[in-house]
Amino acid sequence: MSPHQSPALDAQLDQFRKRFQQLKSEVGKVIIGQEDIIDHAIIAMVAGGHVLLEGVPGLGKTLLVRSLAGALHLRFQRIQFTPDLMPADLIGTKILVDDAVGRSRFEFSPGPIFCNLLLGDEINRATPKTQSALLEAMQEQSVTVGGETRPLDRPFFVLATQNPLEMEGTYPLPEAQLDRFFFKLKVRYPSEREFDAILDTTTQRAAPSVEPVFQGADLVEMGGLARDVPIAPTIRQRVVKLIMATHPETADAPPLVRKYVRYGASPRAGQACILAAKIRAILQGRFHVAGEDVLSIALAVLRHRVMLNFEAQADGHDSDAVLAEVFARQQESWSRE
Amino acid sequence: MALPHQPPADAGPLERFVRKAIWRIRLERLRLALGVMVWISLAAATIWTAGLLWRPQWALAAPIGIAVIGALLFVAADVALFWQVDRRSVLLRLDRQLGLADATISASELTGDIRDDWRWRQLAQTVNRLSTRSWDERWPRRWPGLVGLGAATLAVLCALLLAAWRVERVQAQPGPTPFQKAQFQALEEVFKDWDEAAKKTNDPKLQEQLALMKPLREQMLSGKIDDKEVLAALSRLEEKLQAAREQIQAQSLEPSAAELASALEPFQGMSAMAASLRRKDFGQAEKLAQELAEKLNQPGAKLPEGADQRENQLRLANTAQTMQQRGQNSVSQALQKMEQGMQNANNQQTSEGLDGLKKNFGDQAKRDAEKQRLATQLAQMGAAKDSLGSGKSVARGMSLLPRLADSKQHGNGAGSEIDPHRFGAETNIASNRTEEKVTGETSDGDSVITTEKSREHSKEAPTSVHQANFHEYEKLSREAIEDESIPLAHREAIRKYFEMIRPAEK
Repeated sequence: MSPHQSPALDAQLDQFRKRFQQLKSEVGKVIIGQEDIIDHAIIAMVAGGHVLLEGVPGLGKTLLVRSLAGALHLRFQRIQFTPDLMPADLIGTKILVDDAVGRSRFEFSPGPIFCNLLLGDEINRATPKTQSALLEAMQEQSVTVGGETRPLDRPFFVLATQNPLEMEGTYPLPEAQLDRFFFKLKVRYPSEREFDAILDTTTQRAAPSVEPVFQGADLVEMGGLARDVPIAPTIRQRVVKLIMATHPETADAPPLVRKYVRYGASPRAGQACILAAKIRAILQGRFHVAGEDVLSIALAVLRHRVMLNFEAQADGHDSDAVLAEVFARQQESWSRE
Repeated sequence: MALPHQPPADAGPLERFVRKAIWRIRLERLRLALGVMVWISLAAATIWTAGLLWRPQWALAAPIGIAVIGALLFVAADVALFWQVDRRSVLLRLDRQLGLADATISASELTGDIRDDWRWRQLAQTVNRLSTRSWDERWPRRWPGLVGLGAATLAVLCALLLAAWRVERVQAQPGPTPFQKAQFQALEEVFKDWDEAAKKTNDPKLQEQLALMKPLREQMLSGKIDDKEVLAALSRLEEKLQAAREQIQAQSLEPSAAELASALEPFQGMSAMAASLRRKDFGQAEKLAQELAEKLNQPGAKLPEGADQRENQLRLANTAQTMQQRGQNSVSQALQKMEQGMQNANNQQTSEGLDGLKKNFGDQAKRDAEKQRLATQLAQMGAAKDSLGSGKSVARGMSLLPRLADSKQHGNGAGSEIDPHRFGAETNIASNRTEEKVTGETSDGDSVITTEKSREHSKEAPTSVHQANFHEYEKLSREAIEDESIPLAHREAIRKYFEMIRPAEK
């Protein structure tokens, strides 16, 4: 048997797809509909990224995060972000404790951030100071308290939610923090059929529950396999052009971008695009990344990384509309290659 | 989903599909090229058909049109089939056309650091998909549209049929070809010139010559004569004109003009007539002879002074004899009658002699005009013959009509269309001249010298010298003008020059 014919890779890929499907099915027991959101959330977690969920209250954002945590044997923590929440409330602090012989000493009391899956509910209600406490944790997966850096458990995910309607008493997330979210997912209102099913399942005595399907370490392993998926230079170039097209100063930028975008997506967006596209390629049963993989995840990757100017807000344009034009232009140029 | 587990040993199977895709692309190019050619052919056939209805001569361009369309078709087909196809474009097109999600481009590009197990699996998967996809469904072969090709062929055939029909009509139509028209243009101009002149003058000789030319012109207009035949016909006509000219030359009084002038000069009142004869201005001589004859017929008129001198009478008689010897009987009789009239002191008889001279001088003036006309006609014939090769029109000024104006004046016919300042302003010979007259006496002592300065000059002296010189060269100039060996343009220049320097009449 030739080493090329070894079935190990096929088995790993089958396992990958199986686990993904299991996790999705388990979460689907509780979350009715929102398949796209669940897919994207799992993709982000496999890639080791954080997710910002945006939606009006009552759409199941928090439930989704809780379900994901419950299905993965992950240590889950929930923080309700409020304006008076302090960084120490998040990452922990040193407290004075007495030992057995009666001596007092400072001991670090870890905050809720020391977990595998952190739900930051209504993250935009906290002050920028508190929001910034998450920066190091999200990027470095460690926190520094009193000059001492403490690593977080692996895997570590932040799944944050925010409400787009109530703007009073909120603090929009700074660009640096937004950029650290792998995806920004907009939770849509359920369809009539989904709504009916939600009402049916949630108003009975026996509510559905989520059982753990695999360990958090398996998720890390899946992420490693996904990184092995090869990507052709042509596809990589397409990703580069796609990201560059979100910058108003570039030649490839479409008119809407030139008019409404203040600042385009960062290189981190490109990394997220390719990582997410690789995971999608495996899920599609391919051994390579295709342009359609990139396009399917690009909106979730880019919508929070494209900074619109005031004119866009005044004209009622959001980043999704601007990006739709970018994608259309890119698809057109790909078809001319 | 089922994934392939048996990757190919090499990339050969992929290449097979790439070649297949290349031919599909070439076929599409061919279809596009033929489509463009269909439109071009339809447009060309439409324009051509319209052109044929408008101008039948367009039918003659049929072979060129067919050749151009054929050449374009050949080039377009060659380019479509054999112009190199970019491999990367083929792979991208293949992915798009068969819905392979960038599989073939990835299979082609995934080399280098890519893990072998991934690469081989990707290649195997791509080949598998290429094999299982329905090519004819996803990328159907689209042959060149037969309807369009048929329509274009039909249109071109119709145009060709129309062209063939128009060619027959063009060939059936009498008339010279455009080239022949250009060749015969000069001859046509000559004919019109003669026709116009004949209508104005009612000259029977000119009408006779025109009648000789008419059949030639009709043949020219019908296109039933070629340039060689025209040349031969022109030569025959030229010979006839030359013969007429020689006949006039034989009857001419010009060789005897000087002798006649010498015979008449001694008589008072006849010196002007003699001068006219020396100038060979027979028209003027005729006029003066008539005036003298009328004077003699008046009651109480006297014979001119010198008529009673026997020496002068004998000179007239001798001249009459010479004229008779030269065959100029009419002139001889007129001179004899004058001599007898003078001898008999008979005014009437002398007057009759002068009348006879007048008639002869008039005839000679007419012959001069006819001779000049013949010279012009011969020059026109020469130009027309030249134009058979060059297609140029007859030189400007070579027309009978100005000659007609000359002939009415009965002048010497040296030309009438003259720019008085063509060679610059006339030289004022004596106006700036200062004459010095020095006289003196030789003796002992101081010499006495008288100097007279005067701006007054003798007008007679230079003018008479000028006249004398002019008459010396006049004969030469006339010979030069009539010399066929000298180019026509030069002869014209000589004629006009001498016309300008001709001294004024006294």
